[in-house]
Amino acid sequence: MGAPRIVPTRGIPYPTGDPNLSPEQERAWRRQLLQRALQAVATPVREPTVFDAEALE
Amino acid sequence: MRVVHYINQFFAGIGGEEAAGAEPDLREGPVGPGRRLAALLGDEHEIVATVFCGDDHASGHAEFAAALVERAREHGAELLVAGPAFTSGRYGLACARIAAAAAEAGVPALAAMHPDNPGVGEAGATPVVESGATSRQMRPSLERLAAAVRKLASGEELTAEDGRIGKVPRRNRLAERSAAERAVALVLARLGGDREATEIPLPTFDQVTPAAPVEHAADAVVALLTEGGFVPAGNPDRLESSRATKWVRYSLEGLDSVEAGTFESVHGGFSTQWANEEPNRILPLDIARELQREGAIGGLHAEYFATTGNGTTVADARRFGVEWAAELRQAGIQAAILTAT
Repeated sequence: MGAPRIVPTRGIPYPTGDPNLSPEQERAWRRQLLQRALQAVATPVREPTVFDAEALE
Repeated sequence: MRVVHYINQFFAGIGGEEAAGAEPDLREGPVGPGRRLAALLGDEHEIVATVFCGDDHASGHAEFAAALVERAREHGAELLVAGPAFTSGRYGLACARIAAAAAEAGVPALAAMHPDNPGVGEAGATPVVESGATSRQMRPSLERLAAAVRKLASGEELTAEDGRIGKVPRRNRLAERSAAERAVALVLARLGGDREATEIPLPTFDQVTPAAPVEHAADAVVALLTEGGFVPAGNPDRLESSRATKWVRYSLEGLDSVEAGTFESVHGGFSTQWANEEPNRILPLDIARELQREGAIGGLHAEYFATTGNGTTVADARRFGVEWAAELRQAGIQAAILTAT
């Protein structure tokens, strides 16, 4: 729907989490998502652009 | 014809953003851009009064529109004209609402704004004519508006040729050719390369121009936003679980994390079991605080905004977005992370 910068997550009911992980792993995943989001807002875009957090190591 | 003109606090000369809370009021005769509009309208029409309201006040108090229409009618308004609002979101919404309120009260009305203005979708069947994007295009925008006012005053229907934008009400009429003939003609036109021809224009979705990036995330004050129906436990302001008509804001001051039992999601579109078990799954405050402490972001906004994005109308969602953007801009926020469910 036109959101300019999108970080895909793993499930509608838990955008910044993943209940299938241990609490420590889940926090690490959440951190990865936020770091990717911060990269996204610092990146120029011209159209809706996906910033994959799964690829971030 | 006796015309009443609506403008915002800025064009009324009350003030800029600091005066956006100004109460609705009325002045006799034309004010600001209304003077030029009055000159363009000529002797047949007279701007007998100008009604105005602060943009914040108008967006937060929907009743401003009916109140000002009532005052316009007391001044003998036979037609109400609003704007031009250019691309100014709150002003555009206010223009659309007062024009719609006037039409509902039986006073012919029209508003003027840029096609990208979110107000275009709020006017209902009340005509909106196109203006330029900024007040630098005031002159041509007023010329188009004046021509539309004259046409509307003469009882004629405004069309795309008059710069009409937005929703055009459908009217029944007798076609010269049968539906089958017209459908075949459209297919032939399409095969001939015409991609525009249609009898039923579809709604167009927004093209959002992405904001420029922040230069350094480490210097940016970041806001957390969500459409996940995320509220303090007990939902004190009764945010709707679907078809939200409002948004809410809550303080994050002194909080390092959003804990189970303290916050919850009231979203009606998915199972909230996982969100209520660990609320940071909807509003990632725990990690945002870590990043703040580490200096990865310059700061975190002291409150978060939330609504419920479940069956919410595009018009309401657009309004929330405009209001959030205005709030964040005023608070000096450079970036926002909106978690979507």
